[in-house]
Amino acid sequence: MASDLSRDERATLEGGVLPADVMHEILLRVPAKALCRLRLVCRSWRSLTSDPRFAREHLPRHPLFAARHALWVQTHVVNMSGDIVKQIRSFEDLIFFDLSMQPDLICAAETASGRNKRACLLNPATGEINALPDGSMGAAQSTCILGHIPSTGEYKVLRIGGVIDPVQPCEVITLGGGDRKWRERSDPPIHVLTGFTFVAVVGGVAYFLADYYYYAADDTKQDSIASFDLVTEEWRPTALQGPVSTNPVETKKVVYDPHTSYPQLAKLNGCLVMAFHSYQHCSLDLWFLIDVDRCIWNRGHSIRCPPSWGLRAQYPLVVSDDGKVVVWLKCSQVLKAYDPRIGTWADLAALENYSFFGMLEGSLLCSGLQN
Amino acid sequence: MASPAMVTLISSDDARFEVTEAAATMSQTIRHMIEDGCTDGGIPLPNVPARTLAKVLEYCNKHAAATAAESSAAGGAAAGSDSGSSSSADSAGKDDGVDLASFDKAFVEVDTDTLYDLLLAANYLDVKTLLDLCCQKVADMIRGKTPEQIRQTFGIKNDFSPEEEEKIRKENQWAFE
Repeated sequence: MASDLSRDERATLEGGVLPADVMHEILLRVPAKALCRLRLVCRSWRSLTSDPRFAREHLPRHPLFAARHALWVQTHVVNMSGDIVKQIRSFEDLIFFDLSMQPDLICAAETASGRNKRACLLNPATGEINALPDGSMGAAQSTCILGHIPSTGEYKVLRIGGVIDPVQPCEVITLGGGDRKWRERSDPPIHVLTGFTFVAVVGGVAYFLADYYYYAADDTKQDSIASFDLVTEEWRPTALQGPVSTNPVETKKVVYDPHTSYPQLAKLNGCLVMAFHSYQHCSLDLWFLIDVDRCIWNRGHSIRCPPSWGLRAQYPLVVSDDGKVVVWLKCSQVLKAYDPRIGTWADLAALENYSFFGMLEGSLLCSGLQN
Repeated sequence: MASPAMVTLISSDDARFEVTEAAATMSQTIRHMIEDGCTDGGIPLPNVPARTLAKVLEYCNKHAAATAAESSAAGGAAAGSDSGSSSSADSAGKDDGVDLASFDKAFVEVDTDTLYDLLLAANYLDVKTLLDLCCQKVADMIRGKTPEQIRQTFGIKNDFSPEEEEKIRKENQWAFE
């Protein structure tokens, strides 16, 4: 029983007829919403379920997703069965765009009627919403990426613009800092895509996939990644090469033809992943970046997809505790899991009218999991 | 193949159970006792009554057999190292997996007293997969209960004042909706 909590700390839990460490093991298996209700049982239950160390142990056992409902204009926290666990209240007339998620916070761009699009931060545990100050950039064409910096515990938001323009201006703000001002930063070294399926933040670095439409004639750049270091607030001068460029032998068989396949970036189980979905080969390959400095990618999963998926977009979300790859199919409005041991797909939940679906990195029990 | 190594386990009420070493060593506690050579005349388990031990061994026999069937199906390459595998039952083959899953489900369909006894025994004997199974079963029972029902079920005293209760209810209002 590996635990952050020492045996003495566990022993203070009131288990009644059961020993404290057994009760601790049981409570780890109870979903967050029920645990919040059961804080009323007694002091020791309340204190355990509010402890970030317990929450950290609890989180991987109960994967949760943050989802934006297209019709109700709400952000939902949803479980693996598609049940709405929690609704995050929103301002009136608020429209959430893509969400950017980190351990304790979700960053959302909102458009209120009659106002410009602006960024705000949601705390899934407390339900608090705070708006970020307006930046210098025209907000309509920009995307906000929230990043947690493990070494300092800070949160920063990177705003990047110019999805259509050749120039992509950038600015950064530190959350909870004194001056609450955006700082202008340099443009990325290559033109990048900014939609949520092309960006992932891992270990204090925001990774952006090269704009492969922009570089369509240039093979070498189609799987390149630009990296923004949130600590130094600078772009790394050289692009990170993706698995196609760095594994020519292994990928030759597969041929990631840009007309029939497309790459995405995702953070899966704490690791940067490039996912290639090929319509032609009905395959979904997940490449895990196992060594950033030496650009080593490992094909962790090579999955057969039903031909009926065709051109439909799919988003890998998480590899669950029991090894299943969980994928959101936006057009089919369904959450599916692939079991690599038996090579089959199963439906987990129907998800109607969601326009965004992503892994919730924080716990609903409490904040401060990273400290 | 030679007949499997057997060990004798002795419950708190002095009942003797003869089981295969493969089944017995699903318990880490028993494995350590065997490794330490304290098996002569049987292994005493002073915390586990016969009724519960019989049930635990039913579980261990089933899972040890499934693990053995799986490793011989996998080519028998691992044969000979009979004490080498125990907790890898979840990597069992497809059919065994389904069979074991339904066995497990039925196994914990018991009254709460039996379930608590199993939990305590699995914890003491350190049979990880059985402890997981029982903990999950109790967790599934807990999640739908009210705080008052939980206190009654487990014999826990409410140490909050009404004002504190009201405060906690407010702080966690979303969970009561």
